[in-house]
Amino acid sequence: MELLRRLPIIAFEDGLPPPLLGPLTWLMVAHTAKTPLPLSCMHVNLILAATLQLASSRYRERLLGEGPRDGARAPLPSLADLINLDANLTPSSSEMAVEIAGRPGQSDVEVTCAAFRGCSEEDSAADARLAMDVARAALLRAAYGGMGGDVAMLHKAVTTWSARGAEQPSESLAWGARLRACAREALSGRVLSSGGSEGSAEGNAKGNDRPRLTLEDAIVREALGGNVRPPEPSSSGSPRGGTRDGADGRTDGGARAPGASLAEAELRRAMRGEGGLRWGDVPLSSLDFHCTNVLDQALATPAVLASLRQVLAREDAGAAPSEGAAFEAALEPGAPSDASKAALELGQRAMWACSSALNVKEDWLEGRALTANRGAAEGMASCATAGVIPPDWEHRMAATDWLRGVAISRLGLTTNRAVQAMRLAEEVSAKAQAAARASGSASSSAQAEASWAAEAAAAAAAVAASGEYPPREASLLGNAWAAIGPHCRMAACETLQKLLANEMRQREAQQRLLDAMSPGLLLEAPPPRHVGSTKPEPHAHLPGLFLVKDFVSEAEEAALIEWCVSSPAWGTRLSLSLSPLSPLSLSPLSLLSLSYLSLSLSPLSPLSLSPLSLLSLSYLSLSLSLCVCVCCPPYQLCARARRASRCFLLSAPARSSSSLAGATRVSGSRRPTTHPRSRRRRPPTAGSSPSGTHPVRATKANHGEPTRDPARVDDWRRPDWIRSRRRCSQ
Amino acid sequence: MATPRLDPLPPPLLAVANRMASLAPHLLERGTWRPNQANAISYTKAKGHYLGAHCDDRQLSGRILCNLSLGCDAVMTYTNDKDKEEKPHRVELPRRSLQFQTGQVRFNYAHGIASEDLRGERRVSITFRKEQIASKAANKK
Repeated sequence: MELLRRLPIIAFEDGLPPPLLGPLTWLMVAHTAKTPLPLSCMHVNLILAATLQLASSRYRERLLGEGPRDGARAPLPSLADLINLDANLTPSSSEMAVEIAGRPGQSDVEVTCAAFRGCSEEDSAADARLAMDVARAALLRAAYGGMGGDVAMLHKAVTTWSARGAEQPSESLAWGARLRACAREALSGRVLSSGGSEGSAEGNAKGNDRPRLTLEDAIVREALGGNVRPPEPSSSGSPRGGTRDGADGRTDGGARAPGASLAEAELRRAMRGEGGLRWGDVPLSSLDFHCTNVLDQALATPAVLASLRQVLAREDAGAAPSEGAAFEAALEPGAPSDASKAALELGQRAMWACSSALNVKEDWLEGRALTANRGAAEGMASCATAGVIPPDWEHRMAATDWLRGVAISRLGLTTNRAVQAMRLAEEVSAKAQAAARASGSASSSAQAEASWAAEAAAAAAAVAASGEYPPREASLLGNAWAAIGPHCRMAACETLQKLLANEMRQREAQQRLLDAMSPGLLLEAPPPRHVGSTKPEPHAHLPGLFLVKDFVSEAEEAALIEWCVSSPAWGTRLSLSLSPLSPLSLSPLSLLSLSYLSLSLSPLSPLSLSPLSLLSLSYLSLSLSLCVCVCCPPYQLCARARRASRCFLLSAPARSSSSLAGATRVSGSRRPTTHPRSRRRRPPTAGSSPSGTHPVRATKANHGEPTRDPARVDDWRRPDWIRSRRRCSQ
Repeated sequence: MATPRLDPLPPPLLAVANRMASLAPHLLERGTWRPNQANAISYTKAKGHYLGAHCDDRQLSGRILCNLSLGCDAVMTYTNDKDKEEKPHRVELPRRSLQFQTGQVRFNYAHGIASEDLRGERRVSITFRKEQIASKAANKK
């Protein structure tokens, strides 16, 4: 996880953003601490391929804000801006949905491949699309935070790459193609011709005859800018047998660029842990005797000891007698342990002094390598023609780099870099003065150049004078490290190579098992021998519980676990089943949240304040009040209140609003006009009935016979009313 | 009302189900029981994962549960829901073993696995069920 978070920053800080940056950032987002993604073999391959690209790159990009275009810094775009800018470059949403969901008959691998942007056919806007992908990836990474300097750098990257994505493609600054070329060059270890390997589109990727891609093909293709064709199945039947040598891929034109095929072969080999890591890929600054034993390994080599002996012989005149003797003794065959410790100490001091972090990669700006031996003149000329950089920018940046390197180096590098920085500063100063003389008067720009050169020269001289190590010790340590360093790097590389190879061999064995299993290993393979004869054993105490031991073999067990873990929906299913908020969990919390959500979204919700909601609210309140009335009639409440207060508020249940109003009036007057006793009902008799207050009444229709009003026969309140009235009268 | 869509089990799980049916037809409703649902759960001991004591839904999950234990051994604890005084039963579940829960164990006993009862770093269990709603929908078709 830390690696995934760190890689995008390293990509912008110490190298060129690899074409795999988009999928890499997606992986960083998907693989979190709370919901870790089960990384499959292909995910690891993706990370390794991106790391290899990054480590192999000879270039480091100058972002906007670091170079001479400081003044032209654009405002930081938002993600929405980037999406809008990309609207004319990407497929429509419906096409995207089809692409993501997959077409009928497409396998999962093909759908996954389609998710890689680089797998789509190259077109004229490929560079812009790549730039927008890089900008989005940088913005996404910046949103995840980190050190302030890193986030600021990522914002610069967003500005730089979004500006590139918005630009029209230019022949002179075809940075996208050159970026891919740099990636290919880094992987193949050779220089490519500028136009030889890019731009060959894969036309037959459309239609039904589209070749089947594996995910590995997709990763390689993405890394190499779409210039890869899936391997043809070999005659031996091995799914990947044809890609081992990397020479089987072809472009549609019938010929593949040699650099691309070499790069593809290199990348494929690296993804299998087969010689992909070269000893030159291990930077010296990554070696440390605190955490590795490479120094011990190097000092155990006779050739290294011989080199060290020569160094000490040269430096013997200046070294302290006792120290020199100790080192000499240490370098003799069969030296005692104390002497070996002295040699080890010398190696440690040399490593500590000389392998300090210093980015020695060449500058890369707008698709041009600026400080490379190769193509520097061409790149500088084209950039100067386009007005991107000033003519002497290379000298200026090189001098600044040297000064920066001097400032952070422990050894000081007084003999080399500070002197070189002073020389470069003097060159710039001389050029500025010459320009001023040619123009006849000292212009402001010439004055600025001269002042900058003077400052640079002074800084270089100060660094040279204040070295951390005395010159003689610096020379000894520098020469000692020159003898030890390459062997240390080689030892580290071999160790890493071995580790990676072992890891990748294991992963490939698992992958082979999965490949063999996917058509139905369990369907075809016979069960373990004893399974057929074994019957389920019932449990001694638990009725209904049976157990079958060794139901699957060990190979099947490993395959099933790998299959489950590599299933793409594994994490989702797990999080859904475990999250108490998930509706699938059917937990009380989820139901509560669901109901709240539905209420909030409904127009009936009181939160919406719609007329319907107010109506429903009033209806609800009315229903509640009616419910309260039904459950506990108001006269009971009044009776209890009256018993409590010992006063006559209501003498009888309010049958109608008028009686209730009358009662209210009673309560308000000192002398009630209708005393409860005066309203005592009598049992109905024939021919007589209280007026409208009793359920039994006489009507003319039945000739005076008392009948029961059907509407009032089941008046359930009557007994209560009577009892209440009796209580009231007490 | 739309009937739920029934996806067939993936081939590896289907193979396990077929082997299960051929092995113990007398337990699986005379061989007519076929699971239509498989649920895989991964337990990592270092993360404190456990299976809380529960009894699967008595209506939805059907009368038979089959559980395949992978990765490491574990001990499953059964507690009687109806007779609280009955002592819990601890049942060893070796890795690569298959467990059938039918009858009383299925309906009357809650089962769970404490985190400390995971005998290895990681356990993956695959539970096969015959979901009633889905099977009814399939029968309607």
